[in-house]
Amino acid sequence: MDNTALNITGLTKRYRDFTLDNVSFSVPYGAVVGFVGQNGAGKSTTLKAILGLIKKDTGTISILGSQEQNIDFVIRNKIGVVFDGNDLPERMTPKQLSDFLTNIYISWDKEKYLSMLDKLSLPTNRKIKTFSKGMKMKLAIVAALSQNPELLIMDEPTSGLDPVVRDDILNMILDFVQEEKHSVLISSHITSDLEKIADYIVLIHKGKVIFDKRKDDLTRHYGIIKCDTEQFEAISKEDIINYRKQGNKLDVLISDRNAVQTKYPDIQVVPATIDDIMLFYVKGEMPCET
Amino acid sequence: MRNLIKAERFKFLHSSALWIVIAVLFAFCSISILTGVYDSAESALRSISKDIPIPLLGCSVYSAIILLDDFSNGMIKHYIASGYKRAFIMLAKFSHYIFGCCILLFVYPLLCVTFTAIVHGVETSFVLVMQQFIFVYIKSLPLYLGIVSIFFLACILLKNAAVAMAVSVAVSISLVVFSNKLYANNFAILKYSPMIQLDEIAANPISFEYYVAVAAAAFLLGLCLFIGVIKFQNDEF
Repeated sequence: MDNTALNITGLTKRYRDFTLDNVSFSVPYGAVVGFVGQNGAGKSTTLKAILGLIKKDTGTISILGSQEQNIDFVIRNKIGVVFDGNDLPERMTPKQLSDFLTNIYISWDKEKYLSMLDKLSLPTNRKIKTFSKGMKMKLAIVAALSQNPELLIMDEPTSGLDPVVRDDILNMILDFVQEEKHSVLISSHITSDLEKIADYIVLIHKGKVIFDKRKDDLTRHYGIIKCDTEQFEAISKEDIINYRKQGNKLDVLISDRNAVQTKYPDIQVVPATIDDIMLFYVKGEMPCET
Repeated sequence: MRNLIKAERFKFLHSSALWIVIAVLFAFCSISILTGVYDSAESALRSISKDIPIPLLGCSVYSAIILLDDFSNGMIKHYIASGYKRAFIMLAKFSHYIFGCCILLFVYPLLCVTFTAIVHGVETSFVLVMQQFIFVYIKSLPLYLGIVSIFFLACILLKNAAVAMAVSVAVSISLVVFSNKLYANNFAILKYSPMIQLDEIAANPISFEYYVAVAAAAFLLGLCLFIGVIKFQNDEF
């Protein structure tokens, strides 16, 4: 029995100049999964395949415990979707938007919608086109949450927003996952936001999933060795994931900083952020086989 | 499907696009009325019923605004992600568009004829003029709807409002000009075409050629809708 909110296996989509290649990962119930990668890595393509906006070439997708052939209108209506916030009818006011969306979503909760608008100080009778970018994004998230989804899929929800608005949005997401059965898949290249809220991190690069790990495993165990060439030569290649040259120095990504610090007590080891880890996987070099 | 129709009905009731198009068309018609080009309600009705490009131009502009709004603002992605069948999404949009065209094709000439009656009076009686107007409207409606479905297809194929509008306007003008030219040059088969039948709608009683033209318009409508649905089902967003 599938006990995940979302399970993707072997997802492949080929374009002329890009291929989403055998992407597999899952979103457990009650979890926030951060889907990270640089621009053009395949994050949006993956989300579009999940949402049925593009046709996949191969692979299977199960949503809320339903296998692909059983994913019907009712299941899809339980997915709340946030694109970039500029996908709402701008000539409407938020109040009109509610009256409109009540026809689209079978579980639309108008009271919840208006209550959240009030809590976020969003005006109800002003046209959406007069809203700032941050206000539009908050409105998009409120709209997604008001359809009472079980799975929230968000594509770059904090991109281009100031820290205060980003914080508001992250808090909304954290409130949402307080419910045991609520799950979130959030794609972003702002890894600092994901460090705050994600339970799992999936890194995608050039259409391939590089890793799918618990965030705590990454932030508590991964580290960076700061060393020179001589020290680098002394490090066993088995301990190295990737390295990057910084002038005369090298930065080396390792997966267990405590073990490495014990093994090489003279070497400086610092914790790695998710940003660092992503940079290493994207731009780093693999150690040569000796 | 019912929810989609309700959503389209909401958009229809809250959109001013149709009324702006009608207002602009009426404004141009008013020039003819006030300058005496139409000197009675009957002459206005006769002229307007033969003035095919004007309502077609109105429908071509209306099509781009109303059909592509959800594409340009991204709302179409929400319809698809919510689980609605793509065919139903298209059917709902087509229904909205056709309903709007029916309103435009009724209100625009009604306003013109009524305004002419107010300014210049009637030759017989206003009731008779209105009866004739209703007759012309009912007779011409199926023919117009077949033609305006081409604009629907242009919008779905092109997805760019400005380009679709330009193409639809060009198609409107071309249809009128080339149909008349070819018919005048003894392409007799064109007497069964919706364009030629529209040209003769006020003058002629209902004939066999009219019924053939209605069938041709119905076929054109069905074909445009079918191609539009198939195209949309294969589109990626």
